[in-house]
Amino acid sequence: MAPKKNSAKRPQPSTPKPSAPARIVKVQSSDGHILQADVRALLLSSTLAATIKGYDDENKPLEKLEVNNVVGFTLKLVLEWCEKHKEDDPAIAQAEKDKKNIFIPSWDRHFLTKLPMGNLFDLITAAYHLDITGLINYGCKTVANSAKGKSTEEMRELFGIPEPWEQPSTSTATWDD
Amino acid sequence: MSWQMLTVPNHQKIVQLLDYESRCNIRQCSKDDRDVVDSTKLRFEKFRISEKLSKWVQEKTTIRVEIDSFTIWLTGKEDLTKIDRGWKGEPIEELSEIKHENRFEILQKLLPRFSRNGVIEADTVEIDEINFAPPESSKFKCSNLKLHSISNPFAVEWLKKTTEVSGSLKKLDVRCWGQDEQLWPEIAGINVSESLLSELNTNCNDEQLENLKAMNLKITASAVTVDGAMRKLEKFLKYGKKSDRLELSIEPPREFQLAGLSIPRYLEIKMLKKPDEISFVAKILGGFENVHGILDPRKIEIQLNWGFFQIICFVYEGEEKPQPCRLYPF
Repeated sequence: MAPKKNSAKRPQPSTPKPSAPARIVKVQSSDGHILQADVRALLLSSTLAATIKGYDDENKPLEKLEVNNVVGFTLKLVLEWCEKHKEDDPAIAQAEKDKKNIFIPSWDRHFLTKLPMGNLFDLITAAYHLDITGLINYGCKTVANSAKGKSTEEMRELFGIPEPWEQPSTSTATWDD
Repeated sequence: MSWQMLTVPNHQKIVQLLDYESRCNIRQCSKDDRDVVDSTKLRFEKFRISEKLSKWVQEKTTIRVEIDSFTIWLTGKEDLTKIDRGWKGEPIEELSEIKHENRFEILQKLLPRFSRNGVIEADTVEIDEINFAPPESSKFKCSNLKLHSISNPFAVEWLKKTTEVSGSLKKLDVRCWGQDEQLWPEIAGINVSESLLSELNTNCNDEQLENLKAMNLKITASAVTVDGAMRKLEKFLKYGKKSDRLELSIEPPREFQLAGLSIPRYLEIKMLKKPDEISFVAKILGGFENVHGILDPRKIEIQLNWGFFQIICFVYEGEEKPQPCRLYPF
């Protein structure tokens, strides 16, 4: 049997940090769905973090946050992702923001690849409106991965892009102008 | 939601994550996609230019430009050039054409198409077996650079052209013979952070060696002293990563003998071979602190051969497999 190598360089299993009691708030989607979320998860969204900070600065009780540009189904996905990543260091996502080589962790890969392409686009758009860097990175990388190695026709099929003759006659729709 | 309803910044972010072939394919989907692709920063993974001499026709060469999985071949002699293009090394016949123009001039005109504001950006730029000066029309910006077998005197010009925009690199690999004196001052002025591999016989001195940040280092430095080399070894043990390897050759004084070499006493050494006049092979088991926490034993090989004093140090991975014999005629 081979001798064991020095274990000092192996990553140590992370020990759960002692966390503060969860502060739960209601979040309302554009179509009126009301969901509940931990404030720490919502802080991953720069947009919501600014709103929460506004309430806290004025010592106002935060009962319900309204997210007017995201529907209930997508908002649920966003909150599920944020809940999973609420302990993450935001610097990691920021560091990956302009990188080409984004590594998608296995949980996120499974979470994002199971979504139909339309829902994935909704999720990326919601992440963009709510300014959640990590979710934008992983979502865009998942779309890019699915497009890699595909021909123009296959991409049209994958993304639902109509053929030139099927496109509405707007100023940008044809190749001839 | 459909692809076309995505916001432009998200479109651009996705396009930026695509490889060159996928970018080209999505660009053809619609005019909107073409505009998005054209407005997105283009950074290739690999940009390689090489030239091969024809074995059969004098002065005929093929310049090969590889951009990720896309290749352009410019084959010709004097003012006649056949241009081929293709994906994954396979030329596409429909894209081939013949031009009554010199291939070097065609290359000059071709490169700006892959640039943005005259700068071609790539993770890795490789220039291999080139026998011509770099194009005036384009500059390069890259993290990793390989310059191999570039004919004299073009290597210096290519090195300048490929580093003048960023001024720093992660990895630099230079193997161009006969231009050592001109190349070294240029290399010494570049901030190479991770790996510097050079086959040149440089006149690098102690101070320049000390200032080299790259820990994965292969260099022949004629002006470095034995003390300077030992200081570099200590620095390597402290800052080297697991995959790094130090390969340093210097010219010691004529009277230098390996027996007189003073290995730092605080290093815990275990000999792997009985030391003699020309070699010292040992394991360093401890006595050094590594900033990356790499505590694996290092193997150190010191050789005194043909007037050169060579130190090789790397992480010891156990017994190496013996090299199989190569029988004549190879």
